[in-house]
Amino acid sequence: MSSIALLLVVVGGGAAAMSHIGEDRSASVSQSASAASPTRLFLKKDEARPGAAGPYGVRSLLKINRPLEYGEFVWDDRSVPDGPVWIRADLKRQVISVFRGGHEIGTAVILYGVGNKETPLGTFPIIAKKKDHHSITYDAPMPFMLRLTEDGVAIHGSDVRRGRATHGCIGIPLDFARRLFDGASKGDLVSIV
Amino acid sequence: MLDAMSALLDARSPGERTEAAIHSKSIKAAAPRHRVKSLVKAPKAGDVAAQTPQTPAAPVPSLPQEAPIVSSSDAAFEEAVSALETVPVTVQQAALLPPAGGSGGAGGGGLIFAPPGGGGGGGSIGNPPPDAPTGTPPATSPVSPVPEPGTWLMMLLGFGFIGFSMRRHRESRRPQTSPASV
Repeated sequence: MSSIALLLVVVGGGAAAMSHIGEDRSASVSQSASAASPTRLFLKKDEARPGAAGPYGVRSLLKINRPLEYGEFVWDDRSVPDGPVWIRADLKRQVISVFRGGHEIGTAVILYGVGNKETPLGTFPIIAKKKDHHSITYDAPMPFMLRLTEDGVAIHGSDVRRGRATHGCIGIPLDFARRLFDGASKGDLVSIV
Repeated sequence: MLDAMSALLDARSPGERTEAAIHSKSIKAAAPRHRVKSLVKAPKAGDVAAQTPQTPAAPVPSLPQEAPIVSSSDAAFEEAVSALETVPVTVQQAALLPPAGGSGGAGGGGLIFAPPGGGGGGGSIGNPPPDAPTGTPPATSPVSPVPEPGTWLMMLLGFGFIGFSMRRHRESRRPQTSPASV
């Protein structure tokens, strides 16, 4: 009898945890890029050369004059031509920047690893893409996942809120993750600084 | 990095993360595990374990410098006992009390204290140093997280019953079908 009760508790607890994760996903905050319509700041030619910042150089950045909120993002790829995609995650500033052909097309506040599960620094190519990934290790949904390392570090959609952290992944707002997932390809470089 | 780029990124940054601001919330659903633990009365075991040494001491006659099993400063053990609120342990505690009266004497009386966690230190001789460890019995987990034998037995009985009834059901059906088939 007590084993049945034990089983019920385990199953019930698991269901409660799952529903909590579901809430997190639905509560994901996002703000559309079009509303912000940021201006763009073009860098000088000598500043824009490859190597100074990123493998393809940085030619322009989105001009956002106020701190982004947690869960907020800006995406503006209007009149940005095709080109190689480069993603730059800045852990100290807690922001991610997505570049296409050297022009920044998106930015958001990120979550990153804490404690003994820190997000690794360096430049990593995207080794796998999975739209509806569900982590076996953490039993958690990781939508729009871009995997960076063999041991599971990835960029994926998260409920980005103040006070949250990850187990080493980079968490980005869900809508932002969807756009990034569509825009990035396997092999694109991600620099985590 | 470029100065212009740094300035722009600084402007949009929500600031550096402070470790204090992070409220750790594991996705791995730690809650169910705690609930299972509470089902098997683990928290009280933790209390006892926290207050008692972990190394099991054999119930051998103790050396003079060792602390007696019962000392006047054994508040921790009393607290643990009251937390457990079980009659047997209370009785054991009472059984320990007499040697305390004779602590100044030759002592060495056999230690009969045998709680679930095994024996504690031996009988005492002489006065213990004031800062000596209290010598409370080492507390292993009083309740195992593994289901109890009774639970297993009941489950096996249940399966046995199901198997038996299935067997009976099959046997009872056989005489009915065989005449028709013949």
